[in-house]
Parts: sequence; structure tokens; C-alpha cells
Amino acid sequence: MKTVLVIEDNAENLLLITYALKRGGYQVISAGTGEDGVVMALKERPFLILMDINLPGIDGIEATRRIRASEIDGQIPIIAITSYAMLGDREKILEAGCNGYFEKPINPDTILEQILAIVAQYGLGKGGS
Amino acid sequence: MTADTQHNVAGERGRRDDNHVQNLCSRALLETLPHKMFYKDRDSVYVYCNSLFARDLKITPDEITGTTDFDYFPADLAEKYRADDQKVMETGTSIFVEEEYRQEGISLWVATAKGPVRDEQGVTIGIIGIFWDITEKKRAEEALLESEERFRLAFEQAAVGMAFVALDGKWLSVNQKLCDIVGYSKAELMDLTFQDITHPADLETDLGLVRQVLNDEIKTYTLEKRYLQKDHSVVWVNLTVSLLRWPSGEPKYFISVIEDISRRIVAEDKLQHTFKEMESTIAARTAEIKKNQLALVNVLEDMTMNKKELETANERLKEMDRLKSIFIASMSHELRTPLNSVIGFSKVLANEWAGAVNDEQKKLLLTIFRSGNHLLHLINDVIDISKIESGKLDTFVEDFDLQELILEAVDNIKKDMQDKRLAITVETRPLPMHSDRRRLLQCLLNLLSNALKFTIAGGITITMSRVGEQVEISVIDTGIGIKAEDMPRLFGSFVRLDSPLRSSVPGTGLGLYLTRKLARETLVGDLTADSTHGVGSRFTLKIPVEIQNT
Repeated sequence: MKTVLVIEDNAENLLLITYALKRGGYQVISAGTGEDGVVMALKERPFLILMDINLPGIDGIEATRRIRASEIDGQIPIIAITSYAMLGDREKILEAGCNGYFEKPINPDTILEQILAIVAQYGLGKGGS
Repeated sequence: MTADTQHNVAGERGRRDDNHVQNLCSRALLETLPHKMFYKDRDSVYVYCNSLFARDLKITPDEITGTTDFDYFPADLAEKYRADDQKVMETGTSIFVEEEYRQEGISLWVATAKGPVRDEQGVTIGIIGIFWDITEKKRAEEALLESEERFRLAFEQAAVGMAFVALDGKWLSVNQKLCDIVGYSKAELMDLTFQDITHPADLETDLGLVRQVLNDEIKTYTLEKRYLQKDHSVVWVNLTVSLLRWPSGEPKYFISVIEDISRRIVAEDKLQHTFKEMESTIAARTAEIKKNQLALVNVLEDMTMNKKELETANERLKEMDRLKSIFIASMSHELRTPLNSVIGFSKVLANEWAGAVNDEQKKLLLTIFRSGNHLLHLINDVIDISKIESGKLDTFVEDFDLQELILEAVDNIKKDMQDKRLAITVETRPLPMHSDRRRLLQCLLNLLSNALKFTIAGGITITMSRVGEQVEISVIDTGIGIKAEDMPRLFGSFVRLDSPLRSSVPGTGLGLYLTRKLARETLVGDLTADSTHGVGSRFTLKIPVEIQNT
């Protein structure tokens, strides 16, 4: 079963996303801070990472950069979760190394579609089982 | 008798009545005199002369006897001499003349005295003549005359007044200029003294100085004083006085030079007056300047105070602005966060992802879902409006294709259109644009959403056409339309027009208000509407194809 790492500090958002991912047949692991997320990403090598941008401590962009900097072989797809997005941020998100993004509020019906579309674009990560 | 006695007797005897001695004396006299002398007989024939004369004629005295003037002089001159001789003898009186001669080109003057010689009976027997050279004397006389003439001219024609004044002050001699200056004629002045015509106020000073000169305390003096003219008017002069003394040192008379300085005095007075005026003007101006300076200082102080106040006010405004931004940002986030859960979980439950639900429960859950969405839209609109009003709306100008954008917007409502069985017609072609894609999409979605809401049957058409530097995008529906009287309120905030659909169709009343704001401010264009009630409506966005980046 493919594992998805969700780096999100808001418990409710995490729960919502988890419902949707479980629906899609994914296993969900999570981290509540950017730092923890980076550690877990490199340790668990999930199939996909969903990264909330608004995190306490280092934000999602910095966490993405760090993950990208530490990856040796292959990149895990990272999809950013942003608020009613500032378009200026879009550039930053993509520049940091994210492969795509979707905006809150999260639509449970479409979130899975969005994720799959982006994953399809970038192929599977080397990590995960 | 001894030799001495004889001598003495002879001496005594020979003193007066000895003709021989007399003759010898006469002869000696004639030779001693520095004058030339001759004796002629009644016929003007020379009898004898003295050596001085003879030498002149280049003869000896003895040789002159028996000759006449005709032997020595030109005929006309000799004739003249003879005439003179005759005149003397006839009249019996002696003559004395001074005559000029030219000798070898040089002019000489000779004085001649001729007198008759009478015998004891009184008969004229001849003429005696004496003459001598007076050229030097004549020349001296001429020189003196010339000198006097020169002086007289200088005195008369001087450009200053000049006078000789007696020791008692009487005018002795004055030139015309002085008369002009003091206003009296020469004749009148001769009867006056300088004291008579001096201004009383200056008299004492003048007399004091005169005394000093007479006492030889000073040699000359210069004084500015006033004379009173004949008509009593005052004339200012510059007077210079010096004293001429006799060789013995005794004072002789004064020499005065007078210069009319009335013009200068007037000018000086005027200058003084002008200076005084200037001084008072300067004083006045200085006072004025001081006043203005004070006023200026006051103004500056006010300005500084105002500036401080403005700065303070400015600081407060900046602070308020900052707080507003924080407010908007945090509200933005805070308001939406709970909605995520409301919208998300209501759907999760409705989808039966957390367990089965019955139809009634599903209906209720979907209501929660829709309400959540409605609230979300309302919040988004309010946040956007408050951003626009604060000038904090984030805009992002980029290159995009209009056709792509329109199709994306249409795609969004496609499902809902199909559900309502409404037709969509899209008339577009590719058009590269440089504008805020996101906000344009927002506007189009809003317009389409409105069209969808208020159209029951028929369809929606979207068209685009380029008009110069701008593009017109129109959303046309066959909906319920807008009443003419409602048109003015159409774009107002929180306005929902009364219609049969009002209660069934959700709306925040902000849509058109926001859309037009976006069209005007972010997209630098405008949004207009026209409509026929009961037939349909047409909303047109007219915006520049390229927004100039500032």
C-alpha cells in the first residue's frame, strides 16, 4: 500500500485529508511541524508528500527546500496545500521544489482527483512500497 | 711874496669871475657828463661838441667845427634837426623830446634836450643840445606796461571774484566777477567796505581772522561766509584773504579771492536732506523687515508644529494601515479555517465515508455543505472588497490567452448548466493578453454564475471582440432580466434586487459590486450592463488587452 506523508499542523484539516486519502486506498502518516516532516520524509520515503505551506516553525516552502536538498536518488512528489493563494506565492512554491499545489478549502470530492492528476504528471516516487 | 701866497691869490682870483677857469670848467663838465653834447650857431652849423658825440660821428671834437647835420645824417633826418633848431631859436624856448631811431635794424630811443644860447643883449646866438640813449628806459617802460596790462586782464577776466581791500575794509579795486557775485556794481562797491555787505552771522569770524593776519599770527585764511546782495538775498562764498606788506613789513592792503559756492551749498543741503530722508526710510524699512522677520519666525514655528502634528498623524495612519493589513490577513485566515471543517466534513458524511447515512441525514448534511460554501463565498467577497477599499488587493499581471481563460470559466459551470438544461454558446478566438488572469477569471465566474442563477430557460452566450487597444467580453443570458428602475442600484453593495428567484437563489449582494470594482481597478477597464425585463441581460467587460506595468 502506498504511503502518503501529510505535513499539516491543523488537526481538522489532517482528518479531512485522511478521509479522502483512505478513500483512495492510501496509507497516511503525518507530521505536525516542518522539521518533523523533513525527518519523516527522509526516513519513511513515502510515495507522495502533501505539504501545508502555513506551518509553525519553518514553513512548508523551507521544509520542501530541505527535503529536496537531502534527496540523493530521485524526488518524492510534493504537493503544496495553500490558502486562498497569493499568486506571488505560486512561483515560490514551485521554485522551492513542489510539483504542484491545491487551494484550501479542501473539497473532499475533488481532492483525490487533483492529487492523482498531479501524481500522473510526475510519475511515482522511488520511495514507499 | 712866496710861491704859496701867489698860488692862493691865484686860486682865489680864479674862482668865479675868471673866464678862463669858467671855460675850463664848462669844458670839463661837457666831457664828464655821460650825455652827448653839441653847440651849433644860428645857421645850425656845428661849432663844437664833446668827445662822446664826436666818437659817435667817428671824428674828433675839433673836426666837427664848420660841419652840419647834412654831413653826417640822411637828408630827411638832417632837415628835421635843422627844423628843430630853428624852432628853438625862433621861440626862444628849449625843447625836450624822446624819439625812436632805427640803427642797423635795431630800434633805439634817444632823449634830446635843445636850448637857445643868448648873449648879454639877449640875442640868440646859437643852440646847445644834449642827448642820450634811453632805449633801456623805454624798454623797461614797455615791459612794465605790458605787465600791468597782463595783470589787469587776469584780474578782470578771472573766473573768481578778486579784490584789493584797504586795511579798513574799503573796496579798493574789484573785478567784474566779484561784482556779479556780491550783487553790487563797481561804483557802488567803491563806497562800501566788506563789512557793509557781510552777513551779520559771519562778520565776527571774518574780522577775527583779519586781525590774526594783521598781527601776523597767520599769513592767509580761507573762510566760507555769506554776503548779502543788494536785494538782500544771501550768497555763500569761499573767501581767501592774504595781506600785502610794504618792504618795511607794514601792512599795505588785502588781496581777496572769492568763489561763489552757492550751488555747492544748495547741493550739500539737498544731500543732507536726502541723507536724513534715507536714514528715516532705512529705519522704517528695517523696522518693517524686523516685523516681517518676526512674522516669519512665527509662521515657521507654526509650520514646525503643524509638521509635527502631521508626522504624528501620519504615524498613526501608518499604524492603522498596518493593523488593517494584519486584520485582513488574519481574518482571511481565521474566518476560512473553520469553514474547511464545515464544508469538508459535511461532505465526508454525506458521501458516507464515515459510515452509512439515510436520505434525510444526507439532505441535512448537504444543506450544511451548501451553507458552508455560501459562507465561504461571502467571506471571500468581503475580504476582497476590504482589500480593494484599502488598496491592498493583490494583483498579478501575466501573459495568458483569453480564449483559454473563457473556456476554463465555462468549464466551471458546465455541470450546473447541464443540470438546468441550459445551452452554452461560446464565440471566442485566441487572443494573447497581459493582465491579471486570476481576477479576470473571478469576474467571468461571477458573471456566469449570475447568468446561471437568473436564467430558467434558454441559454448563455459568451462573446469576445477586440476594439482597438481593448477587448469586450460579453455574457448574454435569456434570463429574467432587470427592471429599468433597478438598473441604477445594480452595482451597489449589498443590493439584491427583488425577483421571484430571490429567496431560492443564494446571493450575497456583493457579486456585481465586487466584479465592477475588480473590472475598474484591477483590470483597468469597466463593467456595464443592459437588460430587458423578462427577456434577458447582457453584461459586458471592457478591459485593455495589455495593462501597462507601473
